[in-house]
Amino acid sequence: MMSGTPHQPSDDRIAITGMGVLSPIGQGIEAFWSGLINGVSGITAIERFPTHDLRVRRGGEVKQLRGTLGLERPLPACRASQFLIHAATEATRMARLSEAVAAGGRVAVVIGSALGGIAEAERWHEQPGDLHALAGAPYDGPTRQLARWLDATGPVLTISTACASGATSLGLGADLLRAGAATAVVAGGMDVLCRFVMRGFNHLRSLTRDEMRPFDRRRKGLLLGEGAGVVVLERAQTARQRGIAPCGYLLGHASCADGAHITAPDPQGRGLEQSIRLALANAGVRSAEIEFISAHGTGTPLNDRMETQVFKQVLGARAYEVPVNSIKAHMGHTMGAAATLETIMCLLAWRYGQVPPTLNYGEPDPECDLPYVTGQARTYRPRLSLNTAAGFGGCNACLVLAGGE
Amino acid sequence: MGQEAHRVCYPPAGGVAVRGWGLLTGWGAGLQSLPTLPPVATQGQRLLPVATPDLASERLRRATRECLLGVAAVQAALDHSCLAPHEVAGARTALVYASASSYAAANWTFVTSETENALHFPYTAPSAVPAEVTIQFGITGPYLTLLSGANAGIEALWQATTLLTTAQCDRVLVLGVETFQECAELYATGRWLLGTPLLEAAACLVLERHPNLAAVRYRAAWGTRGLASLVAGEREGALASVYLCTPTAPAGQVAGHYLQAQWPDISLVLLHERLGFCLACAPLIALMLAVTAGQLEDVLLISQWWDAWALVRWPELSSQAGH
Repeated sequence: MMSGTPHQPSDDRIAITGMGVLSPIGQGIEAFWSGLINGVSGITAIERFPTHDLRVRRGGEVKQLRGTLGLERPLPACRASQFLIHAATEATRMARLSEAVAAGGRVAVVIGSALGGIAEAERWHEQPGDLHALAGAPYDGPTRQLARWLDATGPVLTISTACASGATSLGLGADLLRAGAATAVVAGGMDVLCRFVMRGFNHLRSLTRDEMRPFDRRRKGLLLGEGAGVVVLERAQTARQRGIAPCGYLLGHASCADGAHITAPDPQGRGLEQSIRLALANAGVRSAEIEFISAHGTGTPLNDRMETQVFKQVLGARAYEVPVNSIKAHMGHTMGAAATLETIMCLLAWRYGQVPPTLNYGEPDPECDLPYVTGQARTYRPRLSLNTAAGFGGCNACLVLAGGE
Repeated sequence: MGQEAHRVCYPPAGGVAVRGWGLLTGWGAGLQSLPTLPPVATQGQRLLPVATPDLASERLRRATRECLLGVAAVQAALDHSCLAPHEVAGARTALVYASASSYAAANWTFVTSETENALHFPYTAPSAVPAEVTIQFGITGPYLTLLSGANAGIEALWQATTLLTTAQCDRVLVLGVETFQECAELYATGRWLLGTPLLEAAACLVLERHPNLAAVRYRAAWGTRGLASLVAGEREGALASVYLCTPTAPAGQVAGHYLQAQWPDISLVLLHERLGFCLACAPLIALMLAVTAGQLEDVLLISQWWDAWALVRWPELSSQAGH
C-alpha cells in the first residue's frame, strides 16, 4: 500500500473492542474519563515508600486498589501484576472476551513496561527469602502473571521501549493479529512507582518541584506516575462476527530509533518524525486527514519543543489547525502505561465529543505555538488521531487511531 | 528525510534471507569457536563468561559491558556481511533487540548500591544496549526491544521478518545479548529456573528481504499443551531439523522426547547440550548453525520460557549458505 492511498479495506483493520484503566485519577474507564475532562489532578505526596532523601516527593500514586471488579481469585502479591489484572479485567469484560475464548479463540498477551518487575527486585532485596519476589523481578514477570490470570493460549510477549512501551505493545499486538498468531490480543502498558525509579530521576534532576506544565513557557520538568492501561485488539471482521461494536481502530503504528543520545531525545526529533511517517504509511492515512494529536508532552523543555517542531514538519501549515493535548499533568508520567492510557483517551474523546485539557498551562512559549487544548475540555470530536510517545534509549513510537462507528 | 512516508506493504510478501552474523560467546568469537560435541569440560561449571570487548572508544567510556558486547556483535555481523557501517545508517535499517538477562546487572547494581549516580541510571533501561548500537551506527529505522525471557529471540526473528516483508525497512539487525556474571549469585539462587552452565553471549544476525524465498512462519502458544499445539500445526511439508532451546535440561529432555516421538526421522538439536544455556541468544545461534549446515528442507527453531512456547519455521536455508 502506498502512502496517501485510501484507508485499508475495512475487514483488514484492527479493532479495539475493550479498554481498561487503572490510574491515579481513577480506576475504571468512567472515572478516568471524568477525571480527565474535569481537570482532576492525581499528583499527591508519595506515601507508599520513603522519599525523605529525594528532591521531589510527589507523583501520581494510586492510593488504593478498589475491589470494584469483583475478582474471584486472590491477586498476586506483585503490585505491577495487580495493576495489569485490574485493567485487563475491565477491558476483557467490555470485549466479552470469555465468549471468544469459549468459541475457541486464541488469546495473546503483549505488555510493555519501562520498569517491568523492578519493584519485585526491591522487595527481594529487602526480603531475600521470598522466592516469589525473585521470580517476579524479571521484566516479563507481570506479563506472565496476567497470562496465567487470563488463561491465555496464544503468544505472550513482553516489550520495553522505555516510556514508549505502551504504544509499541499495541503495535506488536496488531502485528500478531495480522500474522494470524492469535484471534484476540490483550495489549497495553504498565508501571509502578518505586524507590528505584524515583531515585533514578532524582539523580537526573529531570523532576520538577513545580507542577507539570506541558508546552508552557514555564515548564521545568516532569513528575512520575503509575498505572496500567489495557486494550483488547481483534480483527475488525472478527469483532463484527462476534457482534461487538469496536471502541475504535488501531489503523497504523511504528516504533523508530533516534540514534542520538542515551537519555535525551534527538533535538531534531528524527526518530519521532520517522515513527509518525511510518505509522501513517502503515495506516494508509495522509497527514492532512489527522484531526487530533495526543502528544507525549512530558513538560520537559527539550521534549515539548522537539515534538512541536516534528508536528509542524509532518503536518505542515495544518499543524496550526489540529488540536494537541498532553494528559500527563493530570497524573504524572506513567511511563510504560502512558501511551496506552493516551490511546484510550483518544477513543473516549471520539465517543464523548470532548478533548481533555492540558493541565497547568498558562504562559505560551514562542517555540511551542500549536493549538494546545488548555484550560477546560474542548467540545470537539476527532475521528482520526495521532498518539506519540518517546523514551530513554532514543525510543519513539506513534499510533494512528480512529474512533469507532 | 522526504515529506512522503515510506511504502508499507500489506499483506506481507516474500521471504527473508540471512546475509551474515556476528557472534561472541563464552566459548570465543564466531561459530567456529563453538564446541562440536557436548562439552565435558563444563561439568560443574555454573557460568561461561564472555570477555568484555575492548572498543577503545571515548564515546563508549561509560557504557556497560552488555552495551559493549552489543556494539561488538553488530560490528562483527557487519564485517561478516561485507557491509560498511555507513550502509546501515539511517531510516531503512531496523534494530530488533532480544534479551532475558542483559538488564539485570545494571538494575541490581542500582537497587543495591548506596553510591548510585546520574550516569548509571540510564543504563538500567533495557533499551540502553540497543540505544548504544543505534547511536554507534546511526540507525534511525524501526526499533524494538523484546524481553519475553528466552522466547525473545524467536519473537525478534518474527518481528524482523514482519518489518522486512511489509517493506518497512530494507535490512534488520537482530541482536541478542545475555550476561550473567554480575548477578551470578542471584542466578544461583534461582537455579530451578535456569540450567547450567549459563553461557554469556552476544549474537547479531543481518536479515534482508528476499522476494524469491518462501515466508518465514511464526507461531506461539501458552500453557501445558503449548508445545503440542505448535507441533500439531507443523505436520505438513518436509522438515530437516528442529533446534530446541529450553532454559533447563529437564525441560529440554521432556520436550526433546516429545519432538523425537512426533518426528522420528528428523535431526533434533538440543542447543544447551552443545553450548550451555544462553536464553534469547540460543535461537539466533541456532539459525546461524542451520544456515551453515545448508539444509535443503525447512528448519524449526523452538524455544520455551515458563509456560510459553514459540517457534519459527525457516524455509530454504540451503540457498542462503553462500552469503
